[in-house]
Amino acid sequence: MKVAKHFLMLLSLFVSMVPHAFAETISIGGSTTVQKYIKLAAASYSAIHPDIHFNIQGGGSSTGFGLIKDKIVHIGMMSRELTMQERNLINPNVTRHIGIALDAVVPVVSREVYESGIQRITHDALAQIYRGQITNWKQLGGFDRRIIVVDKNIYHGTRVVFSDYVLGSDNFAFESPESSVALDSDDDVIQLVKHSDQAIGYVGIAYLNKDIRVLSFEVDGETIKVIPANIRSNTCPMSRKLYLLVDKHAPDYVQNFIKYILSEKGQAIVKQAGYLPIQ
Amino acid sequence: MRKRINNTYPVAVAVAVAVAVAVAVAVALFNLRMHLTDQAMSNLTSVNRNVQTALHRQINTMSTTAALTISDDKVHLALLHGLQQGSSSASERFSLRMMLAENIFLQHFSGFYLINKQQQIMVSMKERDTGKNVPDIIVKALYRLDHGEAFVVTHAFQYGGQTNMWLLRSIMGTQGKAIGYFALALGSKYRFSATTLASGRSYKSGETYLVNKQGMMLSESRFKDNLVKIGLLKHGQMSTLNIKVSDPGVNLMLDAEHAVPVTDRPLTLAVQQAMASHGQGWNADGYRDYRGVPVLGVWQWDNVLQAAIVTEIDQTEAMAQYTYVRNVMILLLLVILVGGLIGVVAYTRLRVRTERETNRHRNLLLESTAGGIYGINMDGNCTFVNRSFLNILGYEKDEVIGKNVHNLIHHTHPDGSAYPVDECNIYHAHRQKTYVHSDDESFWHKDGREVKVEYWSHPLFEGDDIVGSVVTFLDITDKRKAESEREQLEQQVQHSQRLESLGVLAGGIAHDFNNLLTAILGNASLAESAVLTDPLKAKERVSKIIQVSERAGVLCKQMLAYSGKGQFVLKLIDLSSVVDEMTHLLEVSIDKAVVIKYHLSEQLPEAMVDEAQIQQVVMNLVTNANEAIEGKSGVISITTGIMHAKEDYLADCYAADHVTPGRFIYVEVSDTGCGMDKETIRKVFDPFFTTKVTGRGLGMSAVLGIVRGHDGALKVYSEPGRGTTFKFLLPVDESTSEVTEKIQSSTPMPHFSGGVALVVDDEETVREMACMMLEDLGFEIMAAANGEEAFTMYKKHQDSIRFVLTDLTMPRMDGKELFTELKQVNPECRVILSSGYNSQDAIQQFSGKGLAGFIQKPYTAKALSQEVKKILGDEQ
Repeated sequence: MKVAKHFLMLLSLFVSMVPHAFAETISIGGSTTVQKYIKLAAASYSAIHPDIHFNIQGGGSSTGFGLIKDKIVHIGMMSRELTMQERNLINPNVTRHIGIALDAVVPVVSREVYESGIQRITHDALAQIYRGQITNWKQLGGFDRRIIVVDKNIYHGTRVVFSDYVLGSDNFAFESPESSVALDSDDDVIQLVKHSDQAIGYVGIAYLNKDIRVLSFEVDGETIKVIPANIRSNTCPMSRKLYLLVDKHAPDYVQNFIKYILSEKGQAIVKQAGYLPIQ
Repeated sequence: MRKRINNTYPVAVAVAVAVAVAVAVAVALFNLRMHLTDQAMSNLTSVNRNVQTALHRQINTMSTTAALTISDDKVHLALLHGLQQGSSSASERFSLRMMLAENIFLQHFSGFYLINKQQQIMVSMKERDTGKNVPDIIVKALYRLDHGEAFVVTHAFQYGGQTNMWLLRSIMGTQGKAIGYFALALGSKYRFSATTLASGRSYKSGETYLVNKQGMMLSESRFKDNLVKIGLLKHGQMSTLNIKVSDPGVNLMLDAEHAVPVTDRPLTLAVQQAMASHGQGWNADGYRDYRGVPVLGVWQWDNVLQAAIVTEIDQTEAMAQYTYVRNVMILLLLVILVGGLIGVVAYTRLRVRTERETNRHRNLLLESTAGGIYGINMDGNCTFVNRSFLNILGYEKDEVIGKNVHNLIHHTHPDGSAYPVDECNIYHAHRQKTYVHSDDESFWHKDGREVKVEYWSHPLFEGDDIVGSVVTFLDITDKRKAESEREQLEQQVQHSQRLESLGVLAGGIAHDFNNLLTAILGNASLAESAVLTDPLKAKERVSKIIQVSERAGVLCKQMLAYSGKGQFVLKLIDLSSVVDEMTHLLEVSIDKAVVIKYHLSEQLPEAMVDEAQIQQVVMNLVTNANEAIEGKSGVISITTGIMHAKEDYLADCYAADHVTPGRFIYVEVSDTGCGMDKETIRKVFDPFFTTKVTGRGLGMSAVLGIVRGHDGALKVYSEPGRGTTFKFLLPVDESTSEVTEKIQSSTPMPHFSGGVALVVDDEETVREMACMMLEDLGFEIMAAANGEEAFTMYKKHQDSIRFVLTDLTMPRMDGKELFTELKQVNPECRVILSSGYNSQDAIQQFSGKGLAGFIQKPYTAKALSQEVKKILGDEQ
């Protein structure tokens, strides 16, 4: 009996070793912000479902929309709402726009700046710094040190959100003050702010770390801290949802992945990625 | 011997196969291991080289970036200005930062440092660094730059609370001399870890890391989480500069308790060897890495990096395929082994069971057979005996096994003389490898009793070699005894058979002889009365007397023959005449209601026979036939003839064993009696077999004996209810002769007085004589040969018939019956009974029934006339 049992185990082992002839690949493209999360989710999902492979590419939210509209990918990633124009291009009954996580763009400063007394900032002060109207932290009650303004290049979604908030428009260019440095990634922004003792920048909450400091918002004399509750309640300025676009008629294995993302496990990974779970 | 070989053979084969498979598997596994090791080594080596190449390329790229950055005119000018000024203003420093920041950070560096020849930081991204002295590690780097190196990449070091790595270049003044230094802080993307963690990883456990001369890790470990778990790192701590690549002595992942204290741990094998040789090395046998996990590793010392590049992979993973295949093989081997073992055990059990069964059957056969069986080996000693041997000869098994059997049971001839083993037929045959059979020797019982035996000895072969003999014997003591008794009995039977026949005949012959005497007496008395008055008539009577007396003589001779005391002489004789001669005897031996018909061939060749014995045969057959008719009326046919008998005919005959086919004279006796079933036929020749109440069962046995004695054969046909035919065949003696002889007689008588007398007697002579006597007495005579005829005549001539003289024993209707019938017709009828039997017996049978008179045979004319006078009284 024992021998038979071992033999069966052996047999099942052999069977399990046979390469998966019918492995499925889920293709995903779009927002890099969402991508940060999706990569983690995909890795975790593959561990449970070795027969599912992923092909993930970035390109930005608009790219994500285009890919799903042309049915080039199974899932499109977007870190913003659909525009009116985009809404007209798809059938909302077929293409679902699913919120999967919450994000917020927040202002960050070098530790020394924070320690010099700059711990919160008003909408106006932020706008003035980025317009070059405030150039020294002394003007905001901090130490006497010039401000290195760290900006992002204009094609980044984060900058769209930030400029939309600061100037009420997503389609603008800051006057390029002498004191401004334009970088590409949130990581670089963090690096500069971290390695400087006089810089300010803005990043998504997923990129925050201990080496820099987050400024609270001052709205109407009240301090709005960057905490999950405020982001979720949209009290915190520059809060946003991250979305996936999926065709209703997508194959089952794609639908199953979406279900996984919205499941408790999937949402736990949202946290791990640095974003806030949708619920 | 053979048995043992047969039993071990499958085991040997199984073991041989198992060993062969095991060796094959071991060789295959060894090759697989070598192959996997080679593969792992070559893989690790290539990863290690790739990391080295990538790191070099990375450094070169950074160096170029640094060179390009500072060669920009504007930047170069600003740098020179910053260096020359000695002390620059905050505004100038801010300008330089803004000038470089975008470029530097876009390329993922994390800052810059402008250092003067006094090794002070003039400008950096942080205002507060201004004027600070560079750390020791940078001092050393600057020294290297001063000594001609184009650029220097430091190892990781702690600065300002952060882990740093700098790339340094000299800044050349207008005279082509270094006037200061420019350093780029390497962002995470430029650190060694970026490359080691990217290009240095392979599979699940393969990693590449850098180690400095102090054995400290210069890159991030792939297993940081595990290092935190086993306490080598604090949470969030980098492994760079915090991990000493030393051997904990045990696998910390499994058993952290027994680890060597951190301070006492020697460097791992890879690091030791890399440091010692400052060259390349590898280890494929496995050694413990900084986690204590057994790994295979490849390492090299890199002069540019001033560090050892170590690439390792967990032994378990590298050898996973080997381990898997090995386990599978072992499992398969185990399955084969267990399966084989089960097979062998099952096969052996089956064999043992079959053998036991065979042995049981053989022993059953051996022990249950009535014959004694024993085996002898080449030394003549007993190897086995069966139960019957012991029973017949009275020995115990232990007393026989291993002993010389001849000396034990075969030591003496039946006549009591010694029987040396050298002369023993069995041992002789044993030596000659032949078969021997004997039924005239004796074995000797343990108690000295003689046991007559019939034995067979067969040699036993194994291949062409004789290994012994098996002797089978039967105890024929009783059989021999029975045979000799039977021989005696047969002689007695033949003798007593004659007596029996004689007994059967006695009454009839006496009666017959009496008749003859009656005739003699009657004729004599007639002659006496007529000798003077009528001499011619007297002479006639006397010649009749002579004739009858001669017949009496023949009868006497026959009786002598049957008494068994006559002389038996073989002579040529015609069987028809033999039968013909005894017809009278036959007729007197059978019931009156039975008629014998003769079909005797007159042209029969003569046969060489003993006449008396042949007559006994005929008599026995006729007697038998008579009895088969069981007192009813029936016919016995006696036929003689000549026939040609073929083999198949003879095969169906009794006593025909030694008879050759040819011409035969036969005598056939058939009856219309009750017949016999097959069972009875089979037993009919057994001595003492009889279906009769009074018979002694010897007749047919004697018949067969006599026929056999004459080289004849006997055929029996019988059908129950229809009758039986016995036919005995005697071979023809080719010389032939014929002898036939007939005797005739007639006698006259004197007269008495008138009236008709009815004379009834089946015996013609008696009847005729009685008729003549009564004629002489003056009666008219009516004669009848039997009761029926008499009765018919009486009814016809009832009125004229004055009396009836009748014999008692007659065919068809005997005297007694006739008397009864006549009395019914005419109660006044006078009947004189004549009989050879005692008058007392006869009268007793008729007492009170009105029997007129009785005259005992033989009687004279005078006695008859007196009896007639007595019944007629006054009427004469």
